[in-house]
Amino acid sequence: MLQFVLRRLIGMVPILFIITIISFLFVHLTPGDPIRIMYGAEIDQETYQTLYEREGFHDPLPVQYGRYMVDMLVHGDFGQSYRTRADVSEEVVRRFGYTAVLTILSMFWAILIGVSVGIISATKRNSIWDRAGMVSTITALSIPEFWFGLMLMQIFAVQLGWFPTSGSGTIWHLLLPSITLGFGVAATIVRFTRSSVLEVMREDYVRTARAKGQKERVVIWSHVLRNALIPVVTMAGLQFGFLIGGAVVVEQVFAWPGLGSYLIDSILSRDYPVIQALILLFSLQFLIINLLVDISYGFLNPQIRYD
Amino acid sequence: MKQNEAKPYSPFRAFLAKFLKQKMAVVAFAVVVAIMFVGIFGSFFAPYDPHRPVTAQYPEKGIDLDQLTNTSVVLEGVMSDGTTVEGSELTRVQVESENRRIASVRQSQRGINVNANTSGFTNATVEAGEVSGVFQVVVEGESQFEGREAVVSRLEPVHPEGVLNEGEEFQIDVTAVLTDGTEITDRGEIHELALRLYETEEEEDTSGFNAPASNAEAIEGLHFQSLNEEVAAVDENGIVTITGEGEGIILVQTGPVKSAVHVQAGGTAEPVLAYLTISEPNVTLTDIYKHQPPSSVHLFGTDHQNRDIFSRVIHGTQDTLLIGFVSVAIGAFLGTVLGLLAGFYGRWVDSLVTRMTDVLLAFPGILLAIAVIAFLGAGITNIIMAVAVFTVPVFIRIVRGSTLALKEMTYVEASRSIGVKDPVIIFRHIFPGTLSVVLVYLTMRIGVAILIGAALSFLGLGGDITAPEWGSMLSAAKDNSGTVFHATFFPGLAIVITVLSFNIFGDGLRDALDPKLKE
Repeated sequence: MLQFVLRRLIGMVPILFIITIISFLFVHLTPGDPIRIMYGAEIDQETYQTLYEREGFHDPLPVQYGRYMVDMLVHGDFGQSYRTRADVSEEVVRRFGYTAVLTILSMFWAILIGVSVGIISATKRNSIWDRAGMVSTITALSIPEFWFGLMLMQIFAVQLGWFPTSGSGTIWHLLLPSITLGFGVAATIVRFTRSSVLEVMREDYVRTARAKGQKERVVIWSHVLRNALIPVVTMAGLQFGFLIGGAVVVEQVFAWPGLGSYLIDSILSRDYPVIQALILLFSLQFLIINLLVDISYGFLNPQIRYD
Repeated sequence: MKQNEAKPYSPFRAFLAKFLKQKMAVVAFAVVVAIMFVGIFGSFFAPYDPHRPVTAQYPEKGIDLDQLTNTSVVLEGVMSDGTTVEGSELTRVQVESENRRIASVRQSQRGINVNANTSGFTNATVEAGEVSGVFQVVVEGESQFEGREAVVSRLEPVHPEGVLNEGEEFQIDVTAVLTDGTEITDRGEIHELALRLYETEEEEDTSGFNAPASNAEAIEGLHFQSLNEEVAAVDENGIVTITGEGEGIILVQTGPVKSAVHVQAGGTAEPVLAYLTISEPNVTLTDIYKHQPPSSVHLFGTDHQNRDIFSRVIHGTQDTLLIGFVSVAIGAFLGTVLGLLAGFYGRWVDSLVTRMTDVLLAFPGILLAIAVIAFLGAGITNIIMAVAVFTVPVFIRIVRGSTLALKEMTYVEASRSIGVKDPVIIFRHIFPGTLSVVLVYLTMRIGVAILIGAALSFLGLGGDITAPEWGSMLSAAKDNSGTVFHATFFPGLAIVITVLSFNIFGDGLRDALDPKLKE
């Protein structure tokens, strides 16, 4: 087990190395001159040269890469935003909390809705509830998150006035974005829960439990669900990464000041140091999430061997 | 199965029979075909040019601008003896809109002409000499009509007719007719309503017209006032006492609405104008310059720049389908080639390709696409590239999987044993076997590609934010039409219907081609 985790961690190093190179090269490969973006297009040639020298663009690329890595790893310095001149790492830390709160609450909704609807669909198979559940999930998977968010905003914020339309501050600001974000994942969880429960219901031990005259409620709760929900939990964990992806869009809809809207704003204004840092951060997040999911597979299902 | 004895077995016919059994999928397929038709020919039958405001296009469409923004209401005067006079015969008529930005009013031959300017609601006052009435104008459009309530349109005083003598007393009863048509007869109720309606707006309401000097003092609730104190006196409850001979007029007023009660004490006199009636006390018009609501002229309404949303949605079909088809085609092509190579050759080719696939699949599609856009810059071509990039690993994985299985087939081994070259084996013997899986995923990924493409252009990464593309339409609607439902509803509905059709069609295709493929 420990060996497996270590091996996976070591396996992450080359991937991380490639990602740092990609994110480092961002400034150099993308169109637009960083000095012009930073200091404005109208500076004269002389100032341009001085600034070019001062920012260290004269050095060979490997030297610059080395400096970039040292700054990042040793000093935790991700550079400064071109646009606001603010320290990128500070801003990232500040916004990380917002995104974390949003995704965690979304995951809560997704599991709550997804698991309960999935169980109902499976236990009342082929009933009208099952049909309705299946039709809504395939519809839900076809609805763009941002449009769903806009519709929620129209109905509950604009027409009914129950919630604020956008921004942050109170718990009420969080409700619509988190439901929007959780809704797509909820549909995936419904499908997964349903098939998982159905699969377990076909197992021999369920038949045995029924045969010995166990009440249906007990069969479902202590024989079926216990076993069926284990893979669901793992799958939900895997969806966390996709929630972070969805957060980029949903944050933009509700003007939620998290990492996602930071990323989009930076891309639109070509604020490369910020894009660099965020790409690195997002990549790291996914690698960690995937690792955790892989490890949890082992805990939940001892049949899996790590070799 | 019996049919197969007569005809040779056709895999295509078997597939068709299976597919046609799934009614949902058949319907979805029909919708997909319709959407593709709209995508190709949509620009020919879209009713309006999607790039220009509709108001600029009305002349060429033969739509009269005035007809949409103008209407007339008929004005009539009711005399104290109960006879009515046409509006054109009334003298000293003045009409005034409380908020001219929303609607302007003027007297015309037929009555009163109302002209809508921008969305909202306002009250308009009509005055003829001493008496006046009010009507409400609602201009539909962007604005919410919060705080809109019916106001008093006219007051109909009821009083004894005929000649009265000095010292006599009588009570004036009033019926208030509101702009929404309700009638209130109870004096106390009218008083309460008037107190509420005109409490804060008192200054505004009375300053607009040529009121007698006495009107300058605050008028609260239901108010009675005698203009000829030597003939008649009136108290606050509307009880009139005749004090002398002659003719007198008592004004009944709530806010800007005034009626006259003609008091005749001795002698004869001509009847005077008692109150005004307006044929339509609640006029509804449409703001045609911005955010027109859905109507027969504009099925989906118009947007913040007054462009026809229906036409824009139809034009946008092309861009949206283009993003979906081209990106998936590119992704499927590259993915299939790499998957075939990885599956067929194995070893280092396989491990390299698989490693790459794993890394790419670890990231959620939308973020991968955003990262690609960050590299390439905004623009519709780059959106296609970005969506293609995250489609590639999906196809690599499935094609590699079926290649691995097909490679072990006896016929592959046979062709290899007779010395058929690798490219020929791959193309002639293995690729056709993967085709059904590729076809299914092709359909299913188009839905996803359209979703991601729309999300990217919603985020403003599509470059041209004015383009009639569903995602950018929603983005523009979010920024400019926050309170308008139809502007955000219809483009999104188009996305949902398209993606849903592709998904259901893909599901049906999968079940018909290979039931084992179920995820």
